[in-house]
Amino acid sequence: MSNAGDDDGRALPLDDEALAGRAAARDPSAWGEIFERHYSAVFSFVRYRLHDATVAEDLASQVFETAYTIADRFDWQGVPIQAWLVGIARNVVRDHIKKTVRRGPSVELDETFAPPAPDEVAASDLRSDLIEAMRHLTDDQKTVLQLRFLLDRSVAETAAIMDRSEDAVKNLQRRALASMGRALESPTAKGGVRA
Amino acid sequence: MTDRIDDLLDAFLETGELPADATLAERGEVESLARAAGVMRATRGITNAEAQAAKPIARARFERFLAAAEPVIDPIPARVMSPAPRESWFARFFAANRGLRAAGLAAAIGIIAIVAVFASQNAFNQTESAVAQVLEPGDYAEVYGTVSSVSGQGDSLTLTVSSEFGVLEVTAGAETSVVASNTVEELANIRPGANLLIAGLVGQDHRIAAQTLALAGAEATPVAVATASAQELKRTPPAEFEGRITVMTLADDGLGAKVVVLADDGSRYVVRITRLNAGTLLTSVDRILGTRIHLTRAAVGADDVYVARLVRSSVEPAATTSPAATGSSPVRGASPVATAATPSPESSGFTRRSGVIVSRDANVLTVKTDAGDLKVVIRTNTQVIFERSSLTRADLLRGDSVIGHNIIVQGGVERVTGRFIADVVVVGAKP
Repeated sequence: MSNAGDDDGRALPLDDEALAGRAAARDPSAWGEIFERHYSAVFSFVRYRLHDATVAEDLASQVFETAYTIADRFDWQGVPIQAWLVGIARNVVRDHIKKTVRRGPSVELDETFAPPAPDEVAASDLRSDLIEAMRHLTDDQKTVLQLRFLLDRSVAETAAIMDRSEDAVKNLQRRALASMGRALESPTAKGGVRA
Repeated sequence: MTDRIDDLLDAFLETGELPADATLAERGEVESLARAAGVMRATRGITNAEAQAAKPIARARFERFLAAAEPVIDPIPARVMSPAPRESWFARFFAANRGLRAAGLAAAIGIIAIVAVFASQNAFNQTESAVAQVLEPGDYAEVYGTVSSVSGQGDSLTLTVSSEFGVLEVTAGAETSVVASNTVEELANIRPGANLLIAGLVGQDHRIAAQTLALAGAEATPVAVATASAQELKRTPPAEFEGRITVMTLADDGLGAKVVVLADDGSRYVVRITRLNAGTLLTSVDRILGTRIHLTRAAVGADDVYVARLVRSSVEPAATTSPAATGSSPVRGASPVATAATPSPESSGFTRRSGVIVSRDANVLTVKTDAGDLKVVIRTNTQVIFERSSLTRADLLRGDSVIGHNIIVQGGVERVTGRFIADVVVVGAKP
């Protein structure tokens, strides 16, 4: 996986391997750098699974806190740090949704799946439809779409992150896009496909 | 093994083209699939903007988390054992007498502890700055300053700002609102020499992650202000005095607030007030920085908390000459003059609006103002103060119970969407 740089696209002085070594030793400056590099990607990953931005912000923070807590378990074997964080993010979101569903239709559940604010711009409505459509996908399908089209990872990178073959990723990608397309065209989606 | 559609789709996503031998049916299927991918890509901009907006508060939270985390103790490597050397008579004497050994050990620990305390106090005194005295990590802060340098580019700048407490570092990004005389400005318009009102969250390193920056216009009158020292700010304020607010902070516990007050005799004091008191002041004046207040120490039991009352409802211009500049500083150790500027009353401040909440959708309130309906975005880092109401933050987010309440909002305008982003919200009673 190429080192895409930080959220602002700047060249970064440390490669993932060096950073991972310092992160495993819980060097605070390394963790500061990891946060700067990967916060936007982690937030985006979480955000596309939840309607509520506030909850997404909270869960994205939890991802970094969890990562720090289990840093000593991160074994650098060419696995990109972002892949590791995405794996944690998947679990954090899954746990959150399980807890929310278990608690029943509480305020949090209402907020998590609340309709978007009416003043939001068109792109926001579109994203809301996307999040709704995402609910019809399997976890792997969601992940492949997020990695490929939100985080701009190549098929090879996605395969490495998901621990799948490139052929499997291509196949998963097609089935995910087909499901997504059907969900967006369904009557429950407010606008259908607008692209 | 992939099938042909998988490969065609992958090729189309990479190049935007299909091979010439693709059939009409294949083209239709691939283009349909690619449309769904296009929808996802089309929404990335708004998500990136949200991520940038959420980043400062998330960074502050993560910094707090790191600071609170226990340091990891590396496993001690196995030592190479060698035969113990023969002990001296002195050591054998202590070894033979367990009581003496314990007493010696205790004395040694005591000496080490005393030395450590002295050493740490000395280090603390050396490194603690006036900035650290005033700005605590996690606080929301409003402060004046003059930009001395700007680094970074585009939507990510670090400003070095001269303030009355010394040099501040202020980070500004895509999520930062920049306003001047109630108009939205670009971040690029902040240049060295600019006078700023800064509102933002204080990080672990006392940097301020700016939420809103108000550029004081050319009409602002730069004046010299003394640089406050940490020693000066530690002084206990008089039981009753008057002065002008130069800094306001709201603590991240949702309860406390502080103001730094420049008293009439030129002394500066850090004064704790209640959050509600801060809310009352905020609702009473157009801009809290520069406001003249009368402070009275509260009742016994809360002797370090003061009650602040407004003396004059207009913002006062800062003194044109600082006590230090005139050589009449009442405070020993106060450094002489810095060139930070205090905007004059007519200069621009943060955008303020008041009205009545008429509806709420998710985290967006609709506020009916004299100028029409205003959409106000409440973020996780928005400071909410409930004045004369028993509402809670949860009520605000739930919405129904806040409808009909008076509200005053202060903040900036999101450059990307043009929405009003609230830094501070004061919710009052129903009219």
